Amino acid sequence: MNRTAFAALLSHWRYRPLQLVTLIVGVALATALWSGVQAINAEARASYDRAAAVLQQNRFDQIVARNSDRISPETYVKLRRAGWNVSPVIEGDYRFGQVKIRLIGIDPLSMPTEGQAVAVSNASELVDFVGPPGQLMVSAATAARLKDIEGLRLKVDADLPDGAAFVDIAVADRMLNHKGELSRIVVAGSQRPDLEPIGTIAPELVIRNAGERPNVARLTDSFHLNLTAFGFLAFVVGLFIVYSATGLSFEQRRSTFRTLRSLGVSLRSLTVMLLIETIGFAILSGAIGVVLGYFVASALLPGVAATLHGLYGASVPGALSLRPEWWLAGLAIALVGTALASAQHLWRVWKMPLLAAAQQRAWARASTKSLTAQAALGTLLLFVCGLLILFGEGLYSGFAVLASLLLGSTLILPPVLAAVMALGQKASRHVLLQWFWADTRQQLPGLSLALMALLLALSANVGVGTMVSSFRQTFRGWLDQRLAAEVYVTARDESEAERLRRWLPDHADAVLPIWSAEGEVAGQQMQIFGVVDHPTYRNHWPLILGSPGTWDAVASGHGALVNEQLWRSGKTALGQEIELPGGWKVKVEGVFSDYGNPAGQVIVGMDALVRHYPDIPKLRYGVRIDPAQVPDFRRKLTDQFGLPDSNIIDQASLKQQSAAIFEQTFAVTAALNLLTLIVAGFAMFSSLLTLSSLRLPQLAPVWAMGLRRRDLAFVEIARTLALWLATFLVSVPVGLALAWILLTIINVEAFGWRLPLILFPLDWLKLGIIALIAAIVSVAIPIRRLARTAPADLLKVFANER
Amino acid sequence: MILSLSDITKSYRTAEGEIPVLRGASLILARGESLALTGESGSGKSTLLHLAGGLERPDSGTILVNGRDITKLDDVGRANFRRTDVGVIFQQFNLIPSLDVAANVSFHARLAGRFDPLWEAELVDALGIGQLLRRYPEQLSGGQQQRVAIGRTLAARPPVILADEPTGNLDESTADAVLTIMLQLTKSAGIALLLVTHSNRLADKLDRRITLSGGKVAA
Repeated sequence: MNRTAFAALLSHWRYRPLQLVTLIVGVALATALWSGVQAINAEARASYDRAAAVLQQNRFDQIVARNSDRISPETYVKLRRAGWNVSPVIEGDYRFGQVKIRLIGIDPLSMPTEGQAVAVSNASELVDFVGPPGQLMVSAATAARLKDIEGLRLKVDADLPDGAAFVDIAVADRMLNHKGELSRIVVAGSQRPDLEPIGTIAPELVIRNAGERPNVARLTDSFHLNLTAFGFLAFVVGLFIVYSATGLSFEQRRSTFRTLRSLGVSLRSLTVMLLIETIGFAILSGAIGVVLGYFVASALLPGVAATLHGLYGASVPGALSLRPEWWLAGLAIALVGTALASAQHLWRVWKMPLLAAAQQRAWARASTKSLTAQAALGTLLLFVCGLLILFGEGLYSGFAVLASLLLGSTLILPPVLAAVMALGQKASRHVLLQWFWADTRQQLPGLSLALMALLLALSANVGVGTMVSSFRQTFRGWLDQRLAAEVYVTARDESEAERLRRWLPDHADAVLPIWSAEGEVAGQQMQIFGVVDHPTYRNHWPLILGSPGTWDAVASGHGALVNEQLWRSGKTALGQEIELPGGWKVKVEGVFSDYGNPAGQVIVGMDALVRHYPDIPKLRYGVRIDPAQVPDFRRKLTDQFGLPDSNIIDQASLKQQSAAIFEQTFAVTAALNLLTLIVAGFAMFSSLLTLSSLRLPQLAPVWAMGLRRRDLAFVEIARTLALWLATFLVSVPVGLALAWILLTIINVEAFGWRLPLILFPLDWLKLGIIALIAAIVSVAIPIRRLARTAPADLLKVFANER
Repeated sequence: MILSLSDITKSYRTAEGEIPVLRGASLILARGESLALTGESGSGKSTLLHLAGGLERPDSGTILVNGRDITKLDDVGRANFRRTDVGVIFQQFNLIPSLDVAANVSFHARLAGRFDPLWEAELVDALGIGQLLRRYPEQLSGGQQQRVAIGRTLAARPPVILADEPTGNLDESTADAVLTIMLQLTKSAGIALLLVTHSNRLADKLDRRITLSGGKVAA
């Protein structure tokens, strides 16, 4: 009997195939976007771990200097003599022309086998690796970027991450000018048991434990959290579709439920059947969603990889690998999502009296109560949002602010619309207008979820669009200030740099060396730049905080500028002294904006920099000349030094490159924005389509009283457009609030910089037009269907033998 | 004469082929007259009513309402005709669920541009629905809903009312009461009434009666 009853339940979908498609597509889209984003995150994180294992040998304990200094060769010898099984590493950034790579010098003989990372397993490979003139082992992508490698041999190893090169430690020492001093020491897994502790042998050293999360993984956390938030938003929007479709299917089958129960099917059996049906759909659509998610992730991953590289220098492959755990997680999220979306409906079936009747208006009236509760909950969430803005701290609090704003506004939308419609009905004098408002209010319960989904998508578009546009405008202004030099020149080696330093002053208005050291400041690894005392900096450098004496203090060597990220981290303050690598101290005299840099940065006077770090590379220079002279200057420079084009970059090209990186960075955001909007459009379409099948009994009496089908279709279009317009109008202030939160809370917590909120009404207009087109598309099929309804079908509504 | 149907034929196409429902049916209804249309299930009563109401087109024949042949009207003309020249009452009541009783009663009259608050108050009083004006259709019993539907049609004061088993869903005493009110009100307003019914008892209350059989008027 249960089999027969189950077949009767399922027969609903045979008669309503479109509803079935809606349900499956809803779950599939929700799963696709969520699992796609998760796949990207998983791929990136796996890549960081791989890179850390290869580049930093982080599977092993590491010995580093307590004050982030280098380790002397004598200390290393002491450790070896004490019986420690350790291996030295010299590493640092090195420029081959314009290409900067991470150079890692290892000793293949003492490095533990698992940490070798490069194939030097046999004698001939070993000889090639350590023998003169030196061998660079790089990935294929890095090899393609390296043009002039200063006479070294190049060997490609497919397993190596991009942007790094392994060399013999002696070669690294020579290239990085370390004078035998080590960057760190790798501790092998197997050690003698009775070893003297490191702290006794060399008190200046500390052990960093194996398995620490890679720096880049920590740096990129906020980026991945942003992606996850977007994926979650799309998932929620998708669930709205599922909730709507399952709700409708349950509502339409009330009479079937009643009949089955009156024929002896127990409530328990009925609930179990509905559960099986729900789980079956979840698994089917989840599987489709995971496959779709794979394509979404594959399409987005190259953009994400470019963003991660541009923002953090992190290397992530542009291709996706399939992981079983990802498939399982995708199916699980589909199940959880469907369960969440169906729980309330199943509960209603469980509580439904045997003789309950399905009535449209009763449904609407019952929802008046829930509208009031919804409005109260929405208001409470907005209140929580306000409290969190005032008192919350940290990135997670920022996301809680975002979530409460979006959820609160979304919940309030249907009650607000219902109130507007009630007012509209009261204010209307014409009977058709009164009916229009009343009828629209009646449709609201069926459309509210789609409208809420639409509000989420539109608000996200307005908010993220405003954030990106504000960022773009600020960034361009900032680039104009910061890239003040007309030409940037990079010497290929120190001797060429010395010749340049002699030649440039006679051919330029001013020469601004761009020299930097790297080290730990306030517990963070960062760069310390030097600046010469020149009006270019005094007039152009984008200072957020400072005083008239700031530049004098920097030039004197006693003062320093810190970037916004370092300042906002709370580790430095204006007027505070900070200790720089090597133990010297400077006072913070100003703060400068430094967009796009994930790390802290310090600027000191050039004389002080060179005095404290005499061995820093002195290869790069900014050159001030009359812009009209740039082509001539380039030609002379090429003639004189034979410098390749890549070593002479003019301001315009650099700005163009920076702007391109910026646009690439937000390409993924734009894509996710668009996908969310598409999902919301589909939610609206599916709601209208399913509602249209319920509309005939409501429209037929009006038709019988003298309205044409065309008039009714026009009213339906007007209703849809009015609802879209109202939702769009609400989405603008919600989106602006979202942008404000992104700019002043999330960005500060995630990236360390704060941006001004700039309004772009034309962008809203564009979004409004896109929304309008989507509205017309979503209403087109239902309206076409209505306009083509045969009079015979309308008459069926009045038939006595229905 | 307010309504005249001459030699009306109408067939429906179905999967089994074309099924003729009306085969040359004719009838005449005078101004202010009430006429009962009876017949077996499937004899074409509702179809005839729908054709007279401009809800469907006949295959052939003429339908004159107030001297105008509505079979020649286009879609706009028939919509205007339904709005101003005819009122239809259905067995399923077909009230507008989103409007309360007051708005439902005045709806058709306002649409037809014939809203008369005094006449409407008189109707509400006569139909005994004064206490229900702020309620919504699904809050009413079947009898109450049908009285609202009658009120809606009468409020528009069309010259002819077509009622398709308006009391079919009601118990005998309620049906009697509803029909009595309907007849009183149509008479007082000079409205012609064509009423489809299965009930001989109800048919006897009207001025005249005809029976439809085999797609034609039998007597």
